[in-house]
Amino acid sequence: MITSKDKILLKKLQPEFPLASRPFAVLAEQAGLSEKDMIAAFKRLQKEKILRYIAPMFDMRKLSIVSSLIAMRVPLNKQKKAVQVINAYPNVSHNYLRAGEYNVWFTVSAASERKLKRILSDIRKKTGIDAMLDLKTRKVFKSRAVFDL
Amino acid sequence: MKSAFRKTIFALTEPLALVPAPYAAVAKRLGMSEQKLISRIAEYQSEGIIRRMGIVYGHFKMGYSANALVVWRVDEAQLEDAGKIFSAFTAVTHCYARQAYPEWPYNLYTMVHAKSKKQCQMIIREMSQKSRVGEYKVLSTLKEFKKIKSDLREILT
Repeated sequence: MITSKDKILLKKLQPEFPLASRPFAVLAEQAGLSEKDMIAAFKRLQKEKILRYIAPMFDMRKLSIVSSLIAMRVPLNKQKKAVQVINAYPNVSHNYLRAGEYNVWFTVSAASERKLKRILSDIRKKTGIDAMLDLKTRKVFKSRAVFDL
Repeated sequence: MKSAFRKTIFALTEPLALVPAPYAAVAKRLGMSEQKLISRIAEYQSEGIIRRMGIVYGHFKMGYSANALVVWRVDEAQLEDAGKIFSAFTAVTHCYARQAYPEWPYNLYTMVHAKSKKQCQMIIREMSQKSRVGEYKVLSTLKEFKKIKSDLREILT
């Protein structure tokens, strides 16, 4: 269980994790806690799935990774199978059911444009669904974590 | 991609352990000193390869349970302005211009996060008023089929 102190801590925590030998000690000092208590708080938050993970936020474009958002029009009777096919790709990180004619929305990343195209044509073949929009990114105006709200 | 660089970013794709010296643990796996790894990450940050070391939260658990993808049809000449206006909203976490199609003419995409459906709708109306973009669709999230941390090793190999 998370404590009321954890909730206060959450409000204060920044989305940036310190780049230091003892990062939890840095956060602990800012919050007036001990390093040990800070790590324990992080473990509670992770157990409750409030914290997902701590990791570097890579700029995929700088790594020459191409990504796209794909919208598919999937009839209800084909939905289960289609989701199975799509989710099987490690290249697909997010996949949602949304209201509207295009109802299945997923993000896909690959090492090259050619690989991305191949994944999409594979998905078309395996699902038997052709109604697919490749909604390529033209410009990123904003991309930030929900935590910054 | 140089193999030392590759090895380092692949090791970093693994989430950090919740231990007193998490960077030392990664450095050990890489066979380098903790100091060397930390200065390498700092280098990647200054090059923009790593935007930041991030603490990533689950937004449902943060109370932001009403989310919608809102797609907007914006005149090309106004795209830049609308993108800036939408980005100024704190409830908007993502704002991207995307390719449009004749059967799907929407070219600006925003993710809106709110604590209730009603609040979400209010924000969207305000976005429409401020930007003077009247043609849009609210694509509420009905179900999460998948949400994972991208694994660079899988994508790059």
